[in-house]
Amino acid sequence: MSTRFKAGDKVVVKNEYRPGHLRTPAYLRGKHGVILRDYGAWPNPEELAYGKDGLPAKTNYWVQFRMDEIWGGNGSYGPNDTVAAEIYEQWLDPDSVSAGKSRR
Amino acid sequence: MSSSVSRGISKKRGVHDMGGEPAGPVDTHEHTPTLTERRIDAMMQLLRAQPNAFWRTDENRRTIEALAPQTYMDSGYYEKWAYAMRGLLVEKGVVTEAEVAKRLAEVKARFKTSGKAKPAAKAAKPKTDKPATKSAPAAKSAAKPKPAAKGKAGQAKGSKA
Repeated sequence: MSTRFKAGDKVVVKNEYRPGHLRTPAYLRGKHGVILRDYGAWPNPEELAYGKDGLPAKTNYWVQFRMDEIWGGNGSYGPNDTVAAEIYEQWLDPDSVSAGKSRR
Repeated sequence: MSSSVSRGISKKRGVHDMGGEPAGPVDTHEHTPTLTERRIDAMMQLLRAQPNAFWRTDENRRTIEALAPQTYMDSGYYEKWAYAMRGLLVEKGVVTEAEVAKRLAEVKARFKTSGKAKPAAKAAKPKTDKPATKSAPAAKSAAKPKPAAKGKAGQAKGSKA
């Protein structure tokens, strides 16, 4: 399992909704983030939830998001107000659109 | 699903996935666990004890997430655990649905005659969105520990724990 992202990489969370045990909260789907840490590969909890072995393992990342984007303008959040969450690699795409911009 | 669930649940997100939903103030007071809660906790620890755990925490979560939305919203933390234990014990073939029903009937009858306490009505069969998924018996190998200690504590709103 190759590591797709490194700290500082800009990512976007897949905006997917499907049945099953999903570890990515809905409020972060479709949102832009920055990789803070690579937590290494772990058996996939979305498979473990159904009694499977969870292999191949998936890399879990610590990803930082901006509150102003997450809550869509509900509340007064500055650019330094952030939230971080563990997101597994299968939920992350490279954020090519924002890559050249000043998004933190 | 139940229309009386107060939160505006999208059909696309599970009832448990409530990060960002209107919730009002959060009661952060500690409370002393009741005897029932302690017993449920003890049962869960025994059923999940390595190396012969009957299921993983991920399966526990999946079962709780599959509770009917109204049941999910109306049930306390340990009530959800009780539902999970019942559902997973049947799913794993440890006990049958008929055995659980028979035993519950016995317990209710005993309470009725003793008159000491109310029957544990909350232990009735949980309503689920869909039939329990048939899955392989719990693997004997110890699962790699999760990185939760490193990260979950710092997770803000919408923690799935």
